[in-house]
Amino acid sequence: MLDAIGAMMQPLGTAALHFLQFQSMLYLVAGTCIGLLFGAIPGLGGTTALALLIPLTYGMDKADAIMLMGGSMAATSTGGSVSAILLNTPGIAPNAATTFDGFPLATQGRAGEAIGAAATASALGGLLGVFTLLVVIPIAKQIVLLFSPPEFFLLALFGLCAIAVSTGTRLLQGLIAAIFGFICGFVGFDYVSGIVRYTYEVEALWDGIKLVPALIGLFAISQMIDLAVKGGSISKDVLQVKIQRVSDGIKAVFRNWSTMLVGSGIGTFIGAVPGVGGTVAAFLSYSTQVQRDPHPDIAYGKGNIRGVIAPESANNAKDGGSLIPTLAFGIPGSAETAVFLGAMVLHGIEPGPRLLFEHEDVVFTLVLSLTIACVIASLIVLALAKPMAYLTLVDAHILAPTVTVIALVGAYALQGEFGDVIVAMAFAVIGYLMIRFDYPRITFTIALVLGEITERSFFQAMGISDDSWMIFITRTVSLILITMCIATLLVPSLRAFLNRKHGDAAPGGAS
Amino acid sequence: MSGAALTHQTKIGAAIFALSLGTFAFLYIQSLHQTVMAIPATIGWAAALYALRPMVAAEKHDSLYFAFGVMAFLIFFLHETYEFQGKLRIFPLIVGWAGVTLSALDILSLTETRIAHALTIVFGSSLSEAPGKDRRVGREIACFAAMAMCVVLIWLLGFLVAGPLFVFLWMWLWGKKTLRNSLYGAGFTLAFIWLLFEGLLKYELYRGVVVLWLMDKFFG
Repeated sequence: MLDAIGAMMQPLGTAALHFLQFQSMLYLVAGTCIGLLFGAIPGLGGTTALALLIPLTYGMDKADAIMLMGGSMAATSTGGSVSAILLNTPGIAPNAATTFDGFPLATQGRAGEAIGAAATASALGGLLGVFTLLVVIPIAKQIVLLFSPPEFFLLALFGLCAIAVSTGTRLLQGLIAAIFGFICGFVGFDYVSGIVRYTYEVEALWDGIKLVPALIGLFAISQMIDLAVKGGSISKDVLQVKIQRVSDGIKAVFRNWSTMLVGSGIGTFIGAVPGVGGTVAAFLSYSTQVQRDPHPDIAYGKGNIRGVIAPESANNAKDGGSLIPTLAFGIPGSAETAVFLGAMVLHGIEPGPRLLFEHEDVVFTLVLSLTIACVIASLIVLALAKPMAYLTLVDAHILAPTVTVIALVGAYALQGEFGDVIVAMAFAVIGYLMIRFDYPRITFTIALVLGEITERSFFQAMGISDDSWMIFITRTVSLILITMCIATLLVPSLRAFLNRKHGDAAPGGAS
Repeated sequence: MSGAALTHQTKIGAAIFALSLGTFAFLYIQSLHQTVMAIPATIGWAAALYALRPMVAAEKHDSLYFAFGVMAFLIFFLHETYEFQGKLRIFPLIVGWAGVTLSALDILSLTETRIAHALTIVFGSSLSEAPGKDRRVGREIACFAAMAMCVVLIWLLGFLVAGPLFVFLWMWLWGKKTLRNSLYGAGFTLAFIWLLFEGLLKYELYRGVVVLWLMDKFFG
């Protein structure tokens, strides 16, 4: 154990050096501010922020790029809590649970207390999540060594299954979206055979569909199309809430430390499971808190401060957890981490087992970025909560064209090719159609990112076994992964069965 | 539809679909070129849409057309994949056939039949709501047209001219903002793009074919 800690100290020190440079810290603060803004504005979110940030990082040192994006990732959910509390409009989906008690507190004139509690719980939850990531890294290194091509192939499939199931009632559509992601991943040069596929003599496609313009289109521009189609301003509520007694909220978190600890634990654990994400973590933490506290002094949903602390601590803690599968195995745990993974590839860092051994400084730069950004984001929220909430009043007809143009410039700037603008726009249309017909974009993105590694692992596995499929079922880890895939795909059926049983039992019980 | 009699349209569509499927199987056994097999596949696809349309609630027709579009793309993808040989097509074929199967299930889940009900249990799906029902097609078309116009403007005039122009036109014509506010929006966009990308990050942004032609003509 001491050896492991000792081995961690050197890359940790190297990473810490970046934070002593003024320019690097400036990037971290800028990323944090951008994350806060995009988190506070409903309809934008952290994935859009990251997609727009990627082109800006192209000429940057990789450590600076990670600090910029890490700052944004850590701050999004903290920003989202402001609009959730003041306007009853969650900035991003995971903040929805915060509205249950956050908005009632605001209507009682205790908005400052709620924001203070949310910001403090977010910061502490985020710190605990990152601390867990730090503890898990040495263990993850050992686990990673058990994996070879068949396991990586099955792990990628498991990740996709888990993410498709996490889309709730859209499993079928989630799986179809994943198929489309794979298909897009097939375009271009095939590393197994050395031949180009599905390019239709378009030279620009020989290197495959470029991830960054595709992600910019899929998340940033498609979201703007959606916003423009819906029309109007994001939030129509007039802000008349006074923000005071912020310190009461900060104190409340320390008084209710067990709520914060349980929430952070739930967030970290849920975050580490691919695809389950922050929304489930926040809601699970909230419902756990309600169950743990059967006789509350103030009813939940009526302005109980613990109802703010529980989801907010889980919300930020999940960031550290979701990086465990992303960094260790190259399997992104959410859309946000999938985009982040794309950015890492752009900077020549291939997430996966080798990252933990060859680029430990990158891992620790990210860990420290998340840690510091959590604290900075909370301080900014405590200082600037009300002006931030005004952002949600921006009209869609101002936001949509401006963000679209900036996104297209970003898509072009990356490699200076006009074709990337067309790719971004094509994926914007695909992304919008997916929003329109409720096909989850997350499974599409993750399959697009994982497409190459999945196919390569498949062929390596078949090569090792002389084209025998038995390799996938004769190895212990592979067998466990297959069982996990099947079990995951059975979850919706089981859920539907239980719901039906409850539905059938309820009337009977009542009578 | 469960228990109800099939409509005349469904019966005709189903018969054409069965015939197309049989022809497709026959051509496959004869090992004919995939392009020939595409004919019965296309007819079968259209017949299936024709047959299933009456079995789907009117508010879900948009979703049905989209699902059939997805299926058409996947069939086209399979057609293209069969053009490759050996290892090159193994994984795409697995993915393509899995896609066609899932897409067929997706289409069936839209119908009001016992099969759709069974699918809700197996996949835990919610089929009660048609997605995107609150949207207006006119707005969507306008939005896509605006986006296409943006790309064309950029191609012609480059980012520094087309970007602000696009923002101005959108805000003024569609957003009904005042002329002054629209100009502010355009000015902000120009300043942001120029300062960030050209000033700070030193990218050389695309100037557009018209601007490049003019520069070439007048400044050599």
